[in-house]
Amino acid sequence: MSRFLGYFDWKRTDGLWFAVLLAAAFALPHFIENDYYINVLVLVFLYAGMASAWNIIGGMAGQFSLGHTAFVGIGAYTSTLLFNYVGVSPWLGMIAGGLLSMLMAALIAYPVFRMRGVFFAMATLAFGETVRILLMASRKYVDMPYGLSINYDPGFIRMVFEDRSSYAMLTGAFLIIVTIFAFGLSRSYIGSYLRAIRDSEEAAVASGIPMRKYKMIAFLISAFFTSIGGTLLAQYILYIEPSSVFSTAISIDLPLMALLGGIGTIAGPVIGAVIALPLRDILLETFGQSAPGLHLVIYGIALIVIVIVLPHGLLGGVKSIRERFVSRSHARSEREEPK
Amino acid sequence: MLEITNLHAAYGDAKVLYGIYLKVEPGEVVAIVGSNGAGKTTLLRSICGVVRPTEGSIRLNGEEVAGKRTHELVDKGLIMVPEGRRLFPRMSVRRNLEIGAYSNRARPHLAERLDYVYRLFPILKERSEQLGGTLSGGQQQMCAIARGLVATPEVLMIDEVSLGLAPVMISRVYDAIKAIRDLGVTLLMVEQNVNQALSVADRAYVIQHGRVALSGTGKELQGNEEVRRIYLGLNSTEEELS
Amino acid sequence: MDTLIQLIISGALLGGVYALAALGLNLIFGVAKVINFAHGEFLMLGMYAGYWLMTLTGINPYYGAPFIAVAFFLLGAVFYLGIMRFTIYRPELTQVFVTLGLSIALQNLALMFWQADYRTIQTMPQGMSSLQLGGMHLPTDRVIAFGFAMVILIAVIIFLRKTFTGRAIEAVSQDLMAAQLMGINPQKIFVLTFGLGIAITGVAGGVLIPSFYAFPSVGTFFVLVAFVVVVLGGLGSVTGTIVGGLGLGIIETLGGYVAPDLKEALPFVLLILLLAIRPHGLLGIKGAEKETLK
Repeated sequence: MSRFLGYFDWKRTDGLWFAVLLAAAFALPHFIENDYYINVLVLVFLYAGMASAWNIIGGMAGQFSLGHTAFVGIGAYTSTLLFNYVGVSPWLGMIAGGLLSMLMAALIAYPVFRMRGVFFAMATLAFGETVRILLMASRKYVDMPYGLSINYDPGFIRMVFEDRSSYAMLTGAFLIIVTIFAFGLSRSYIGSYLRAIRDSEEAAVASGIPMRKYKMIAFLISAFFTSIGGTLLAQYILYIEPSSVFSTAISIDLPLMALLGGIGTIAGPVIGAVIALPLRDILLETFGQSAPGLHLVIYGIALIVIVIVLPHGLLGGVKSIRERFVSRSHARSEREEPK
Repeated sequence: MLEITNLHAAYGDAKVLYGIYLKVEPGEVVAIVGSNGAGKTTLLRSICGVVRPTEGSIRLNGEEVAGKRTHELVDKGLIMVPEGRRLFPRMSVRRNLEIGAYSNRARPHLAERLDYVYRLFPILKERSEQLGGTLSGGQQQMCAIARGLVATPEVLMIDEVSLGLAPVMISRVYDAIKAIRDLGVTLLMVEQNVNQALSVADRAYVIQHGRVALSGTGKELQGNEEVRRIYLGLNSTEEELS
Repeated sequence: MDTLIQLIISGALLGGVYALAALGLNLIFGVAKVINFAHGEFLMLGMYAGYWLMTLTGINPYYGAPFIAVAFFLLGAVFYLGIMRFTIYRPELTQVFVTLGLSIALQNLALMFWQADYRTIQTMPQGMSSLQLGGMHLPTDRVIAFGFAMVILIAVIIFLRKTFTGRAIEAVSQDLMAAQLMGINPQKIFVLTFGLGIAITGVAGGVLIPSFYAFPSVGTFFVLVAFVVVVLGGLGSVTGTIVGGLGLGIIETLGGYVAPDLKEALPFVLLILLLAIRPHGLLGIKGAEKETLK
């Protein structure tokens, strides 16, 4: 066990973070009575998990995908269709969705990974839209209503719960699992390969790192977990339709949260989700009444400002403040030392 | 004409130049030599504004120009032919030359300058419609130098004159440089090939680790042992110990 | 056979307009190496500009195009100086998010001020709404829009080739540092390019509105169209934009005839295929898809 643990590059604060996460996921839900806040908690955990999943390919490997909503949708639709029409438990349907998403990811990887940067983003954006359109077009051949509902019939096997705290624990567990994977990936040799690829593809190739293999690994893992998130979303809201789960807004939200907290870090997406979701709700509350769309105007402007001012997200901002502090105190102590 | 004092420059946290001094008189050919990584290219880039000096003074005809932006310096006649030539790949030779006269200073004289460089480098006239990206290394260098001349330079700076060129090309380019020198153009060149450089230069500076290690006339330096040692990247103590 | 010709001509008319819609994007990308995800929103604003111009002053966008062009040139300059200037030397993801943020903000501003209603205008008096040419019925508005497109596209090509400023723009797009060494002020060129690119996009919107409905999120459709045109015709190549536009227009019209359900997905599928097989497009520069500002 200790040899296994030794594979990873542990830092001092890691234990602390894990403890916090565990407490948040399993203890916190019991203390929050208010329905509204519990709802926020459920969604924060869920989006944090999906943002972390995105971060694996987007932040760690540097392949900026704007099409992850495809995996959310595939996950949501697969488990829901299997449940509604075949009676398969969403726990299994979730895995099926995840596998299907991995398959889609593998298929799309060949064309899209040939591109870098913005073009990769464009291609994945197009990919996300394409899946949605294909789904909608398929309704001509398969008799399927526009929106799918899941029966409210609480039961563990049906992954439907009566009280929200159970959902919070569910999504909390999801977040913890994704975080563990992200952590494992990041602190292992795979993580350093991914970072090498992110920082300079040419150098990585020259060092003999089989790029396609590792990009693919990251992409598949990312797709799998994002897809699981899709299933959980469907099971929470109990209603899905193409525009809700195959939505460009989701595709933008996930990288946005990762960016806000600190892209490429493990805690970043979580912090991002913790801030972004409640903030958006507050914006909606404050401005949504006066004029339709105003809160989104502010959201858009905020996005612009944040990206320019904090390119490394909040964690990056904190880091640079700390660094400036450290160098200043070093300089001071150097001057004070007797020569 | 060009006077540099105590020039310091860095790329972010990596300091490259530590107090360079340098002088170029009108009509002179001055060479900057030194081993790889000594800071020669950084020096030229600092002079022409691509890199911002952190400290020091650069005076062109008495006017302080350190820290000014590249395009402003071009208007004052500080022209650089960059390392690697950097012709516009999808423009013809003629277009490349013409855009050399973009600045306010050079534009009125475009026609006569074009004539002048076509006479100096007849091969450019031959291939005037060929795309810059398809020329050979030596032809590109000649085109790049010609492009620099079209800009009516006060001082023409050439970075890494012979880098990446086949020996026969190098001698052709140096013939061209001698022709330019004979026409009175003031030249400041960075050159890895010390012998070639010293054969045309009036004076030279030897740069090592971002500082001027030696300077003198071409003849003085040609026979100098120190130059050989510095160029090979050894310093005196190392040699003594071995 | 007749149907085929009618479809091709229809497609070409559409394609010309697509090319115009994409030109601004391509121009800006070629010079600043920035993909403007808010491009569709500028087009949308152009459409609304055309709408309000006609509704409030009675001037139709064909005559009003110069006003739109000037207004949008200023808008483009502000866009660069106020926002994009800070993203040029930053990692690409900054540009992506900044332009995405702008896209969201603009879409919702339009929603706030003009609501979600679909709007269009009538520019032709009764009876003139379609032209008879060689036995085919062609919508007049589309023909005029096509005309505008061709004139502007050719004017831009001439500008880039024949004038010093145009060549300076070309130079910056090919090698920024070398361009600076020629005495070209990159800031001026960026302002000019953004101004020009957005102005063209505004005019494109203006001539589109008689044929298409305007609504706040119409940009999302057009931005993908523009992407496909740019990738198909060639990143950074203006001539390529014409080819790409015509190509897409014709493919889409033919495809729409054959399989109307999948018509919506066509641009996306085409985009992915193109990016996979030939990312530099038909006339573009090889490796342009890997370029960043040097």
